[in-house]
Formats: sequence, structure tokens, C-alpha cells
Amino acid sequence: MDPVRRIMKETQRLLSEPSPGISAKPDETNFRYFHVIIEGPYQSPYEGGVFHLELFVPDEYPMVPPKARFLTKIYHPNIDKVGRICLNILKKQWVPTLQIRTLLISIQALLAAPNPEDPLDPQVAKHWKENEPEALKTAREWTLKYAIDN
Amino acid sequence: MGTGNSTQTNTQNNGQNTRRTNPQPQNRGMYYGGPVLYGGQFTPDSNRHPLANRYPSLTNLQPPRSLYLKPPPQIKNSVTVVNSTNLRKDTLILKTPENNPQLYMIEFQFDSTVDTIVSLYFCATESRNQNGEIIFNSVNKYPVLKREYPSGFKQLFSQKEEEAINFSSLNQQQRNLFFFRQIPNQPHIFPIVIYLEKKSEPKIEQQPLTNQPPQESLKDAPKEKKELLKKNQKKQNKKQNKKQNKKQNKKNGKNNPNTPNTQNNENIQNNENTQNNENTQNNENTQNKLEAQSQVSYVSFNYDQKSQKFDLKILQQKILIKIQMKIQMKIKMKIKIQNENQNQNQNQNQNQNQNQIVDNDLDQSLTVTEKNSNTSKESNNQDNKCVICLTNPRTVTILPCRHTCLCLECAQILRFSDDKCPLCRTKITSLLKISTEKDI
Repeated sequence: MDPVRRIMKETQRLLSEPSPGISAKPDETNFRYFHVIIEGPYQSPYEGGVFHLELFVPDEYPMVPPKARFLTKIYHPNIDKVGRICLNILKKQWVPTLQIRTLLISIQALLAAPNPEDPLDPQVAKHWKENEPEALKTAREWTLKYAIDN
Repeated sequence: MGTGNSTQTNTQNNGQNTRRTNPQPQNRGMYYGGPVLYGGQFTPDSNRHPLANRYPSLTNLQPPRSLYLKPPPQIKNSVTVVNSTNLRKDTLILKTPENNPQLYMIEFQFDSTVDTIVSLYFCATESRNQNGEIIFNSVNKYPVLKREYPSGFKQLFSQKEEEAINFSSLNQQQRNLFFFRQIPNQPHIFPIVIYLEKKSEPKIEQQPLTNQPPQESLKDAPKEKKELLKKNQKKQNKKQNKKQNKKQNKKNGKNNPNTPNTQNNENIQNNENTQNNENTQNNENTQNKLEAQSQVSYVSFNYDQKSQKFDLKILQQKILIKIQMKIQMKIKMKIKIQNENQNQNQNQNQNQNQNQIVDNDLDQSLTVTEKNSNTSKESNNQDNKCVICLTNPRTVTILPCRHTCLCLECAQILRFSDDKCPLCRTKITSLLKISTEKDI
């Protein structure tokens, strides 16, 4: 198996047929490093926001998951202040059938459906559980403040 | 206070004494868990128990089995099987005569390249005899239908009116058996079992195979033996075999048209008394037939509420192979047949595949599992490429979930790194390499 070949194939497909609301471009100097942009899902507090992520594909890929991190600040119970993401397929539930594309779609879905039951940022999760409308409002404010590109 | 101090010093002294008298073993730091779990001070010795140093008096200590280092699942090669008989699934129907709508008669078509015995068991249980061969027994002594057929394609089997199933004549218990309602603490009962069996040729079995040169034995030997011998011989011999097979097929084909009807009439047996004898005979026969090959179809009734009629549904088809070593292999063909209407397209695909195989004179060895995977996955996956490397064709099936999604190379990597199926995350027990026709 040639992991580089698989990464190349995936990159080609990502560039030629991008998923709606997701763009992933490899770095010019490192084909394992991707600059990812995810648009905030429709009817979510992140709607209208443009979120930048970095994604790194390790050597052992696809046996191990890629590493992904939010660069844009986001108010979300499963994403902490540094931008780390709590998502099962980024950890134990990764299977080599999954690809960069499917992973990014999952992250997009995570924005649409936050899961405060399995939090990464306990304060945000507490806020979410106790007063969801207010938390959504904060998320909206953060989106307008940090995630609107000029 | 004074007494208290003295006691403390005493105990300390005692402790020191004991330490001095029992010197510590050289290899320290071993706990119950094993060397890897609790630090690396201990050099693992597979022949000794980790506690054997500390407790030399215990001689029964066995070296520990490593629980956490399981051997990776092995990649096995698939065995090619020549299927000499095949029931056509789509032709299996339940007929009712116009005069008497309460009667039900089973009808189906089948292909065979050898003389076959078709047996219909009603309300049958599956069990193994002393040799490990699978046998069927009818519960409630329901008569077993048995007919012999010569080799040929698209042969028709149909029940006659005398043999037809009449539900109204059955009592409640018998009816329950037919409709798959199980009795607790009893073996599974299949409503109908259709058993297509290769007719044995007693002359061959008496000949000692080992004394003969392989080429001579090939002429008469059943196909399984040929298959085994084929593997051992070179390609040149293969061609000869094929020619011989074709000749045989042609000969058998010529004999076809007149014989089946007469044989049918002779072999119909309805009485329960004869049926018992037949069962015992059957057992004896199967004991002699080590190389016999058969296909079993498990069928159940399906009540269609719209048309208020009964229908037949194949639950599973199995091919039983008896190889020379008395090892019996089972290859299950799990066939999920839902509503016939929904899956008409798929069925058509399957038919096409089957026809293609038939066109090849059933000569080419085909792998059963591959046939299945092709039919089910062609529609879903446009490119049949390995899901991991996305380049090589899929050649390895994961067991027990039967997902054919890997190439050999990726399977090698996966079996050391992960024990879950990449599609459904079930634990992998073993991997099966499927040899395609190109490889052979």
C-alpha cells in the first residue's frame, strides 16, 4: 500500500469535486498539511461564519486518523479554546475506510449538532446545558466577531 | 510509651531479619499483570512464570499466556469449488391446482452436470452423523420425496398432486412446524429442505486411488478429486481435464431427454413405512459417498397478505463438500431475499451471472463467495477498489462480517494494526483471500 498515493487521490477528488460548504487545499510545501475552510451550517448559530482549520495527515495514515484543529475561535461544547475537536472518529472510532472528506463532513455536522453530553470544554458545555438559548446567542456573537472574513 | 517503642523496634528488627534471610530475587518489579504492563524491569522469559522466582516452592506455576498480545488474524486462501448442482432460486414457486386450491405443490428448476438425486424434506432438522456429515431428518415422519435425475440444465422438478401439501389435513402442531414456529429446547426445524445430491458411483469408490497414476483416475473420479489433483498438476494437465470434462458433459447431455420421466415414476415413494427404510438407506449411502457433493436450500413459507396466498422464500443455500480426507467443508451462501418484487433487478443480475457460469460449461472453478460479493456490491460501489489504498482490486474478505473491501497488501497491514472491519467495525476473526479466475 502506498499511503502517499492515497493522499494524492483524495486531494485530487477534494479539489475537483468539493463537498458543499467545505474547501480543503494542501499546503504548497507539505502535501500532508491541509488548509481547510468550513462554512457554518445553515440554521445554526455558526451560519454565515467561515471557519479555518488545519489538518495534518500523519505518516501512518490511513491506519491512524488525521489530526484536525480549529484555527478560528468558536463557541462550541465539543471544541476547546485552542481549537481541538472532540469527535469519536478523530480518535478511537477511526476506520481506514473514512477519508479526509468524510472527516470534514463530520466536523461540519458537529457544528450543526453540538453534543454537550460529551464535552471538551466543560464551561461551555455547562452553559449549553443550563441555558441553551443564551449559549446559542454567545455562539452567534462569537461567530460574528471572529468568523466573518473581511 | 516505653512499651510502645519497644514493640515498634521489635517489629522493625523482625522485618530486617526476614529481609536478610530471604534475599530478594534478581528480577524485581514483577506483579501479576505481566512484564509489559508494569514497567520494563523484568526481562520476559516465556518458559517461566513471573512469580516463580519469588515463590520457588510453587512448582505448578505455568508460564503466563500473554492476554494482550493476541496473534494477528491469519490470511487464508479461499478454496475453489466446482458446483455440480445448482437450484435456480428464481424458479422456485408454489403451485396450486385449479381443482383443489387447498393443495400446494413445489416446483423448481435446477442445473446439474452429474447425475443427481433430488430430495425434499419437510419439517426437517439438521444434524450430523458419526462421520460428521450433515444429514436431515423429517420431524413427524413426514414423507421424504426423492427422485433421481440425469445431468442436464434447466431440469424441472415438480410435485404431483398426490404428493402435494395439504394444510387443511394437518393438525395444529404439524402446521406450526410448517410455519416456522419453533418448539423450545428442540433443534431448529426448517419447513422445507431441498437437497440436491450427486449420485454416487460405487465402482469408483472401490478402486484404490493411491495405486493408480493420477491421470487414469481422473477419467472416472468425481469432480472434487479432479479439483484437488488439478492443483497439484501442471497447466498442461488442466487442459486435458477440461477436455475430458467437456466430453463427459456431452455424453451426459445426449442421454438426457428420454430418461427423466420414467425415472420419476419409479422413484416416487409416499408410504411412511418405506420412508423409514429409505432414511436408513440414505445414511448408509452417505457414509460410502465420501466425495459426494450436494447443495442444500432451506426454504420457508411466506404468506402474502395482499394476494392471500402462500409463497416460498429461500432462507439460505449451502454447498456441502466432502473432500478425500473426510473433512467436510461448509460454505454458506447467505442470501438475503426480501420481497421478490423489490429485488427483481438484483435477481436478474444474479441470473445473468449464473447463466454466464453455465455457459462456461461449469468447468471453470468459481469461488462461491466471490459470486456473492459481485452481485451485492456492483451496484453500490462503482469502482471495486480496496477501500484503504483506493488503487488495488479487492481480493480479501473479512470474516465473520464477509465484507470484501481489502486488497492483499492492505490486509497484511491491517491485520497487524487493527482488529476491526473498516466498514462495520466488527472484530476480525480471520481474513480470506479470494482467488479470482485470473489468478488460476
